[in-house]
Formats: sequence, structure tokens, C-alpha cells
Amino acid sequence: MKSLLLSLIVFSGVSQAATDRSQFSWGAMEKLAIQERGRVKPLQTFAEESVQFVTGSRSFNHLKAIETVFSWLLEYEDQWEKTEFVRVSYGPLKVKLGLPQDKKYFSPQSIRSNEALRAMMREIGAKQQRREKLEDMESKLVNLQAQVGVVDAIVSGQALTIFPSPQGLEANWIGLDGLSDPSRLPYSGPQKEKTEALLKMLFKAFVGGDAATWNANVGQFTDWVRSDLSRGHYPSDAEMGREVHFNELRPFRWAWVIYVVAFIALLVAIQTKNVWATRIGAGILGAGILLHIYGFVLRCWISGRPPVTNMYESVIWVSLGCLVFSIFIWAAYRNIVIPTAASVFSIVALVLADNLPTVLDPGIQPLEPVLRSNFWLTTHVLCITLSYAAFALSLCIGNVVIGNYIFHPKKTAWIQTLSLYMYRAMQIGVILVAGGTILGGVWADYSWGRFWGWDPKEVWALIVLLMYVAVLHGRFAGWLKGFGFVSATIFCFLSVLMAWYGVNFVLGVGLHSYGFGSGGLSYVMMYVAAQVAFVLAGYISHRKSGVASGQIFPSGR
Amino acid sequence: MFKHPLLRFFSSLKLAVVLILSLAFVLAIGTGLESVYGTRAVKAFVYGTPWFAGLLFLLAVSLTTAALSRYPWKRHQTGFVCTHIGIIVLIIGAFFTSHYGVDGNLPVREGTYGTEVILNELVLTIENNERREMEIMIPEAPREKTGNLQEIKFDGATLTMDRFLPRVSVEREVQESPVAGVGAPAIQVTLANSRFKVTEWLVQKDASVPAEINLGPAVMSFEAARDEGSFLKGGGKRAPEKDPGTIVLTRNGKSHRARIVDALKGWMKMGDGLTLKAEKYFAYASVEKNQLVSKSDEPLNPAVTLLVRDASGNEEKHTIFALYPEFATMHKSHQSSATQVLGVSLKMVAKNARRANARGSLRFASVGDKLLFSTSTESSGYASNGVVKVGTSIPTGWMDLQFNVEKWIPQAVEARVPRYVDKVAGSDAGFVAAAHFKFRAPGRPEEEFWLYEGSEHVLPFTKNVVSAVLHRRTLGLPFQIQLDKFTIHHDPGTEKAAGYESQVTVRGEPGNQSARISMNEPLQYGGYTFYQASYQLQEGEAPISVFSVNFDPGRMVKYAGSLFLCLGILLMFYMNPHYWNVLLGAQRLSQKPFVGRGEPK
Repeated sequence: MKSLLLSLIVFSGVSQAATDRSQFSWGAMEKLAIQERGRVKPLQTFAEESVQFVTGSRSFNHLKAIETVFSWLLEYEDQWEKTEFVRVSYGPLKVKLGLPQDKKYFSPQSIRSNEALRAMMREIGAKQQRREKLEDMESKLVNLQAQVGVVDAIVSGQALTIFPSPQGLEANWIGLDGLSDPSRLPYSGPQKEKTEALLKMLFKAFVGGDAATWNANVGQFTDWVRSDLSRGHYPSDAEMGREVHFNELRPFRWAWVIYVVAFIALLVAIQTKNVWATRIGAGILGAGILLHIYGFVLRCWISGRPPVTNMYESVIWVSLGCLVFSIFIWAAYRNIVIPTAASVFSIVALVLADNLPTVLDPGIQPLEPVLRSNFWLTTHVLCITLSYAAFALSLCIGNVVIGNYIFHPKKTAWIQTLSLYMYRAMQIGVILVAGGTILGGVWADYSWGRFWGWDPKEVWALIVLLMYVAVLHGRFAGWLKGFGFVSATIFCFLSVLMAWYGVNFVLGVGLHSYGFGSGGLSYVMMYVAAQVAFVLAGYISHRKSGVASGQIFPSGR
Repeated sequence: MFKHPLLRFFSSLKLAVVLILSLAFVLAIGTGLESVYGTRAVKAFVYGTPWFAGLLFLLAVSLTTAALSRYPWKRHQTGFVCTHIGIIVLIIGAFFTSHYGVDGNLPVREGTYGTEVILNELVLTIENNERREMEIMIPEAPREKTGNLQEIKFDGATLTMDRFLPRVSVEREVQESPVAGVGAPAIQVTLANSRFKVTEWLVQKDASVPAEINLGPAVMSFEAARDEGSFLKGGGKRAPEKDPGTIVLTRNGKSHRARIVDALKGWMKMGDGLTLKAEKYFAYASVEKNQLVSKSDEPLNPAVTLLVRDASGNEEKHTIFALYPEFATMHKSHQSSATQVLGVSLKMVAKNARRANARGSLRFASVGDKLLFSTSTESSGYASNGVVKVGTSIPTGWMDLQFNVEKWIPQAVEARVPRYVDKVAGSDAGFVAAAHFKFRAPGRPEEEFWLYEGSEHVLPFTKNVVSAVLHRRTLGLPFQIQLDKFTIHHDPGTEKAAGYESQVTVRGEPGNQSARISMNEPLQYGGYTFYQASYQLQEGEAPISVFSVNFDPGRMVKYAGSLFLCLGILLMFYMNPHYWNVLLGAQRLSQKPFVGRGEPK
């Protein structure tokens, strides 16, 4: 739909060819507040989330997200409607819609006019009304429709809810489309006129590529909204600035980059047994952890709560926990292999979090009612997720053990030492998952009225506990020794994956529905296959070596 | 160590491992089933079954014997014993809860009170108005079941349940009346364009009131009309307004008007020394390629570009929109200065203008053996009417919508039919169970009927009034919960609930008590705990607040068990002198792996 805002700048007499806006300053506009998805956030966050959702990248065509959003708003018909920029990555969907397989991007026009899509959407609508399960293809289609919907909502100005309500942050803010409906804008005549005049000037400057006018007036507009339109109901500049800083810093991306460097340095150190290489590697790793913690604290500060809501936050938290536990165990045993192994998990987790925004949504969202302001809730979630971190650490060390079974099957003492570290990590995990599950029961009792309700998330936490306990008892019973114990521990992590990822993304049922999502199953299956193959290789090598499986505690009973 | 082989078997670690693994396996299967068939199904199929209770019991026996077999306990076994006692106590607590506890829902509408807690068990109640009431448990199943499921005999009659559907949505079906002279006229209409398609029944139950459905973009109605003329008169048929309207020019508080059709012909004197000329009229103005164009002749967004000139020859070019007066735009004047020099304000008044999304009405009437239609939109005068041919698409004249009368039944009856939903999307809430019955009584023809959760069927008997009701078992509370006020808070700028709470008055023996129940802040009264669970909103009706009602005699037992369990694990793993040595730095374990302690042989 063509925006009527455009009539503000109709006949500006400037050519509409791609305009160079490299001289534009975006800072003030990025810190402008917008109320969206139940939260007041900087326009920059909104722009990045929207552009990411539609195009799959925060900086489509190397433009700043905010510039893309303004361009959608003001130059849509000429520059975007027929331009291929809506990302469709799911192959079967392209087949179904008759779109060329080799293309990544499609124009909104071609999506809108797709007959197959329309027919399917009608069917999906009926299905949703009956609350039936959607097929994978159907939910991808709903997603594609939503991508075009995001663009439409920006083009019409409806999504750009930047006009603060004088009734406060909780009341509905008004979108740019409110300009064409005076009954919706709660501002006085002169206020409205000035708003319009400023916007008109900025829009003209944007379309005309007039950096001087834009830069000179953008601050005036944002100050005007902040000081005059809001009547005091507006987030502070510092708050918005903090979030913009967080978005620009991308601490979790830098954290994994640093972890990769640290990992390489530590590998060299382990190979060469060089003390200085070890110190440098450990130093880099420490720097990464500090950055990780900084980003984490910043995020908590921005969202005003601990990270308990979605998969993305738990991935960030667990990858940090894994490294922190590795430091604990390293402190006891002074073996640099432990944090080195842990960094692998953290790298993989953070790389996934950084690159799969459709699966792991990095957006900060408001909490579900049941999750608000509750001590037990926070405690039990953090406790359970920390147990995942400890189990992840035991998985990492376990894989180092398997690696040794493959490459150095005769180094029995070394294998036993490593197995002991793995056992220690697992112990931390067991106590945390047991405690966390019980705390979860206390919380459920407190807010839902029952201690245990066979909810899938709690059931899977219990399954995790049972699996590890079974392995522990299997060892006591003498069924699992050396190699068997290590590989069983590794396979137990699959139950952690199910409890952590599977319940929300595969089962998708239950009261813990606030964390639901979809996608990523193929990655998980690939990992599982690789893990099975690796353990199998270890088993074959172990059998060939003819070394009997020893106890982890070599001199033990 | 036990001597008795049975005790030895139960106390063996290997049995424990097998039990733990089978429990984990069963639970994993259970969550898988739940994701496909819903929560109720898996409760009926796994968690609530005797064999599942048996598995837990076996585990408790194994734990107990394992703990006892190591008696007398040594100091380092404290953790082990503690953990095992904890789990046993937990299982006992769970047993208390499931056998003596109450876990149900209490929906209360604002302004009323509730006293019946709805429990989970599905029952069939056969009520006889004189003598007795029978309550039969209906076992639930994860999926559809057929066959001779239940046979209930009473008063010489037999009621057979031959089909059970665990999850249905009850749908209305309009059928031709089996009995001549009974039933109401009904039509099934599909309204569709490229983005929207909906099919609805209109049943005209009362001849004096038209049946009406509100569909968002349209209101559809079906009435009985005496004759064609009276039906068409009833519709808002208007001749469409053709005139594009007038331009209102205001300067110094004085307004001057000019008809657009005249202004398009040439310069017009407007008084005050001003002249005005309309350059171009756009019925449906739209910007394409940076040019204002008219997309069609439908007056959906009328606009006009015009020139205003004063006595000294200053000229300005303006564009004005009838629907969006605030977008009046001034362009470069001939002196190439973009500032207003004339100080005029311009407005366009177009009576024919209408917004593109105006709602329309679609009326139907049966007159004799003819079905007539009439369509019109609110803001434009567009209208059409005619005789409906069943099965043919006819344009409505707005939003590219076409309607199609798919069926026309002069004498129809409504029936409720179950639509079975096998796989659910996440939750089975909102679906009800349904059962199909056959009823045979001496001297009467066999009858078949469906019962839905909460529905009743009167059985054909001569002597007594007997009815069958399928419902969830209820429990009467010895007091009443009255809902005074229900409040919802939303997340800023969304319809998403951020929190909700109920202001209630408990009316019981010791006197009335006011309380507020909100998320995470339950009310305790008379041994029961009331939690704010959910709510139901329906337009035009008072909200319903749903409380989760809980009575749990095993609560403290479970807490005690939990405490023991956690303490035990802590003791087992960490009450180890060697471990403390490590922490205090007395020893580096990598050099000298330690001898495991606290592990049973």
C-alpha cells in the first residue's frame, strides 16, 4: 500500500535514483524511541530487527538498517516493490511457490502476486482458526507472509510508532500513519504542525540526499519528540544510548571471535607445552569471558530482568556458564585442557546464536505474565540452565577423552585423568539439575498450584537427571568402565539437548510455552550423527588397542 | 547385604539402573505423545495409569531395599542414605497428592459466584428424575476409539457407547429437514476475493427478524420478504453521487467556493482579488513514479491540483485531497520560491468520496420460490440487486468481493456435529471429548446420538424423564467464590496480557472475606488454594476468570523429600575430606588421582 506520507514530499523535484547518503548522521535518529512488541526501544533496534527479519541481514546492501527502513518508508514504490530483497531460504517453500531455486531474494511484488501462496494462505487461515497443527511448510509460509507484512507496515508508517502517548509509556503510542488521521494524534494544533513541518523537511532531505539539511535538523526533531510531544513520558537518552551501544558493540560476536583466537593459542600451547603460550592463551580467553560477562550484564540492564525468557538468552548464559565452570575445575586441577575444551562449546553456541536469528531470536521481549517478578522462577531457571552448562563441559571433556582413545589409546593414565575432570563437571551438573528441578517444583507449587504437573519441560529435566543418575549407578554396578562410562556420559548430553532445545522446538507443547520456536532441527541432527560417529571411531580404536577399560580412579576400589 | 534372593534382587544396582532407564524411556515417550495428542491424552495414557504408578512403586521398593541392604550405615554413606530417603519420601508425597488431593478448575464469571470445581475425570451421568443417579467413569483415550466401549443397562434399557473421540470441535451443520413442514429457510454463502474467503450459513429462524452475520468487511443478512418491491425498498439503495465536489479557499477568515467542474474549465474569480484554476482532477489519487496519477475513476481518494493567482500576478500551485485535508501541499510557485505568499488555505469537499475499505452490506431474501439479493456499501451509493442463481459467483461491488450462494435449503434444521481433531497444535485446551451412543429400550425404535462434554440428551422413556449427561466430574466447595472484578494489564502498545488479577469475595461459614488473586499470588481458604490460572473474554459479555483450585495433603511430604534429596546429593558429592583438601590447595589432583570415597561397592 502506498503511504500517504509520501504526499508530504510529492514533487520534490529530485531524481529518485539510488541516493548517496554516506554523509548522513544517524546517531540522533537511532536513539529515537519506538514502542514495539510491548517494549519501548531505540529506533535502531527496531530497524535492525525488521531488516534482519525481512532480508536475513542487519545491513542489507551494506546500508545501515535505519537507512533501509527510511528508504522503505519514503522510496518504496520506486525502489523496493520490484526489488528482490525479501529473503526466502527454505528450499521446499520455493518449490511449492514455483520460485527459482537459485535465488535467495524475491521482490514483494512477486510474493504478493503468487497465486499458490494466496491459495495456501487461505487454507492456513482456516487451519489456524481450528487451532490445528501447521505443517513445517505452512509455518514457513506464514513467516514469509509476515516478512512482507513487516515491510508493508513500515511503508504505511503504521509500524513506526514513534509518537509518544501523553498518557505514559504503557499507553499505546501512535505510528507515523497517525499523521493522516488527526483524531488519533493527541497533540495540539501547533504541536502537530511543527511535527509535520520537521518531518517534511527531514523526509525531503532524505529523499533528496541532502545531508546538510538532515544533519542540521534531525536533532531538532528528536529533541522535539522527546521534550515537547512526550510530556515527560519518554525513556531517557542514557537508556536508549545504552541499547544502541549494546547493538553496536555486538559483545557476543566479539566474544566468540576472541574465544576462537584463545582456542588456537591454547592448542599451540598444549602441543608445545610452552608456558608463555599458555599464559597468553589463558589471557585472551579471560578477556573473552570478561567481554561475554559485560555483554550479558548490559543485556540484563537493558531488559531489566535476568535472562530467563528465550532460547537465545539461555544459549548466551549456558555458553558463559560452561567456561566459568571450566575455570572452577581448572582452579582445582590446573590443567589448561579443561578451559580449552570448554571454549569449543562456547564458540559453537555463540556462533549459532549470532548467525541463526530466525531460530534463536536475539530480540528482547517482554515477559509472560507468569514469569514476572518471581524469585523462585529466576532461581530455578538459572539453576537448570547452569546444569546444562556443566553437562556441556562434561561433554567437551568427554570428547577430548574420546579423541585420546582414537589417537593415543595407550595413554591410559592421561585418559583416566581426563575422565576424572569429566566426572567432576558431571557432578556439578547433577546437583544443579536435581536442585533446579526441585526449585522448579517449588515455583510451580507457588504460582501454578501444583508441585509436579507432568509438564514436558519439567519431565525432560527429570529425564536428564535420571539419565545421568543411571550412568552413575551403572558405574557403581560395574557395567560402565572407562570407555563405556565416558561414552555414556556423552550420550546423556543428548537428553540435555532434548530438554533444552527439543521440548521448545520439537515438541512445542506445555506450560513453558513462552520459549517456543522452530527451526534448527537439521543442525541438531547433524551434530548427533557426528557425535555418534566420533564415539564409534573411539570405540573401534579402543578395541583395537587391546587396553582394558580402567576405572577413572586408577587406584580406586 | 540381604540373604533373601528376592530382597537381593530388589536391592541390586542393576535393577535400579534398569528401572531408572525404563522410567526415563516411558517419560520420553509420554512427552512425545503429548506434543501430538495433547495433555489430556497423555495423562490418560501414561501418567495416570496404574502401570505407571506401579513403575514408581517398584522404584520406591528398589530404593528402600537398596538403602536397607547397606545397613548398618557408615559415616561416608550419609549422603547416599539421605538421597534415597528423599526420593522415597517424594514418591510417598506424590501418592498422597494423587489419591487424596484435589486439582481442578473453577471458572467464575464477573458478577457471579462459583462453587463447583471441575475435575479432570470424564463421567457419564444418567439421571432419573425420581429415583437415582448413575455415574459412570468414561476412560479417556489418546485417539479415536470404536467398538463396544461401554454398555449400561438400566430400567430394561441398554445404552451403548460405540465411539469415543477425545478431541472434537463441535460444529453446526445445517441439513435438510427430515420431516416435511418443519425447519427454517437457510442459505450457505461464500464471500471471497483474492485474499479473503469465508463460508457461512444464514438460517432464518424467525420470519420477522432477518438472520444476520457480521463478517468484518461485510454484513450479510437473510430475511423473508412479502414481495420483491418491499425487499428492495428496505435496502439503502441510492444513486451514486457523480459530482466531484467543490474547492473552498479561505483567506483572512473569509471563505470562497468554486465547483471543481467549473474550475477545471478555466480561471475563476474568487473574490479578494484572487483567481483560481483547477489543473487536473484525480478520482483515485496515487503516487506512482513520483507522479500523481489517478488509478481509476472510482472516487476512492479524490484530489485536485490547482493554481491560485492574486492581483499582482503571484501564483501558487497546490494539491489538495478530499479525504486528507491535512496533506494540502504547496509546490514551487512560478517565482521558484516555495514559501506561501498568498496566505490562502484550501480545502476540497467531495460528497462522493469514500474510503477504499468501506464496509458493505449483502442482503438476501426468499420471496416465493425466488432468492433475491441486494448489495450496497455504506459510503458510496453503489448498489446492485437481482435474482440469485445457486452456485454462481456474483460481484458485490466492493473490495473485489464476490459472493456465491452455495446452497439454499427452504426447510432446514440445524444439527451439532463433532469434527474430530487427531493432532493438535501444542494444546488441547478448547477441544472437548465426544461420545456416540446407541439407545435401545423395549417397545421403542433404536436411537443414536452424540454427547459432547457438557451436553445433555433426554432418553426416550415413557415412565420417567431420563437424561444422559457427559461431563467432567465436579466437586462442590463448602463455600462460594464470588468474582467482583477482573482486571487485565497489557504490555505497552499491544493486546498481549502482561498480568491479570481477580478481586473476589469468599462467602463461607465464618463470614465473608475479600481477597485479590493474581498471578503468583494465590488465595488460601478452607484448606484449598486458589490460583489465577487463565481467563476467557467474549465480546459483549462479562469476563470469566479461571482459577486453578488445589488441595494437596502431600505438599509438606514432598517438600521434606526434596530437602532430603538435595541435602543427600550435596553430602554425597561434596562431604568428602579429600575434596576439601583440593579446594584448600593442599593437593593437586592431576598429579595424584584420588581414591574415590563415598561410593558404595
